[in-house]
Amino acid sequence: MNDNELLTLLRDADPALTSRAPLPDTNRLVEAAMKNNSVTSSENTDFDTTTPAVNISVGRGRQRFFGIAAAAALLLGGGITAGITANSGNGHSTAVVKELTLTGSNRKCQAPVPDQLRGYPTFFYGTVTSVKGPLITLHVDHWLHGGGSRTILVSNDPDFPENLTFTVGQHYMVAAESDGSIPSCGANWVSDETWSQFTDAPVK
Amino acid sequence: MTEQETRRLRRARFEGLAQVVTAPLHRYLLRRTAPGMVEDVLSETMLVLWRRIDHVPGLRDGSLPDGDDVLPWCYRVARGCLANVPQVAVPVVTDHSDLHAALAALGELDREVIRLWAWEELAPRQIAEATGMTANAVSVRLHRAKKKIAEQLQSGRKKAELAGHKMSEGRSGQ
Repeated sequence: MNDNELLTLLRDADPALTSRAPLPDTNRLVEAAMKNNSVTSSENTDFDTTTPAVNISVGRGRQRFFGIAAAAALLLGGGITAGITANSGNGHSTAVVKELTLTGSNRKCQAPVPDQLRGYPTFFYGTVTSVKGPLITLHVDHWLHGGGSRTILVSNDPDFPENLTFTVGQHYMVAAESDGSIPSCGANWVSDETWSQFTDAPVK
Repeated sequence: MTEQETRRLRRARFEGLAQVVTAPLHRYLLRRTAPGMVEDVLSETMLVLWRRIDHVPGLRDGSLPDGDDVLPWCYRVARGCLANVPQVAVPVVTDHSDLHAALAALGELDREVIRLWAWEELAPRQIAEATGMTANAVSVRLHRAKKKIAEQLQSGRKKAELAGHKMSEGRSGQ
């Protein structure tokens, strides 16, 4: 079989040819993207195109501020930092949280209850989609407070092995302060049964 | 240049880019994930492109970009966004199940190289840009992956022929 024969076979088997999905609305996508986020500073040329959209760009001074805040919190006993975009959904980037920092040990936590967590400005239920070394990716199944992106990156500090272990396919509930800190017991594994209790709870 | 002019230029660049890349990106995602996931991942991809509009290679002010210049970079962004969603099977045409099985038997990177070559119609240099490999590494992988698929397809056909032959022998023996 030569290259042309293989190419013909492959093109005949192209899933895009048989898809019944409607064509994308370019104008809507453009408007949604421009409403949702700000453009990265043109001075920043060191980037990774694989970075998910949750890592909202911030001004350099602000990045530095959050970097320092995260480092300080880690020194004080934290273990998790995360990049997250929160959006009010009204077209203006509110950027409630840039970096999440675990400010206390996350072990020996009691089962989370809505009363304890519903007061946090960032509060979501998500499923771990990948764990690559210290980097954990969560797909947001439900935003309870805050909102915006469907993908959250969490980097777990290996210096704090006592922190919660994230497992692919498992569900977690994560709450964070407006300054980006994940409180003690703010990240919790939840079973499907527990989650159904949360969905019934009056979270505002 | 005032901030307002900069904003207007970025907007124009992004609108031009979106006109050229939205449909190819949509097809790219249809080929790699379930239809139900495509819209979300496409939105994420467009969001990253808007954020990185100053870094997209091949953009020119005042005219639409050339797809050959911008698409490999945009595919790379889409690939990154896809990596962050749960992997789900793509619906395939049953007529080509042997070919999809041969594709599935490849390693992830070899499979992506083949798909970019056949479906996105990229040259090795562009595949290198889309995957972060060198053009040389892409050429080697592409050659190897084509050979593997061809071998697997031929092996499958031989088995089918053999099975058909045995069935006809069995019928004539009765």
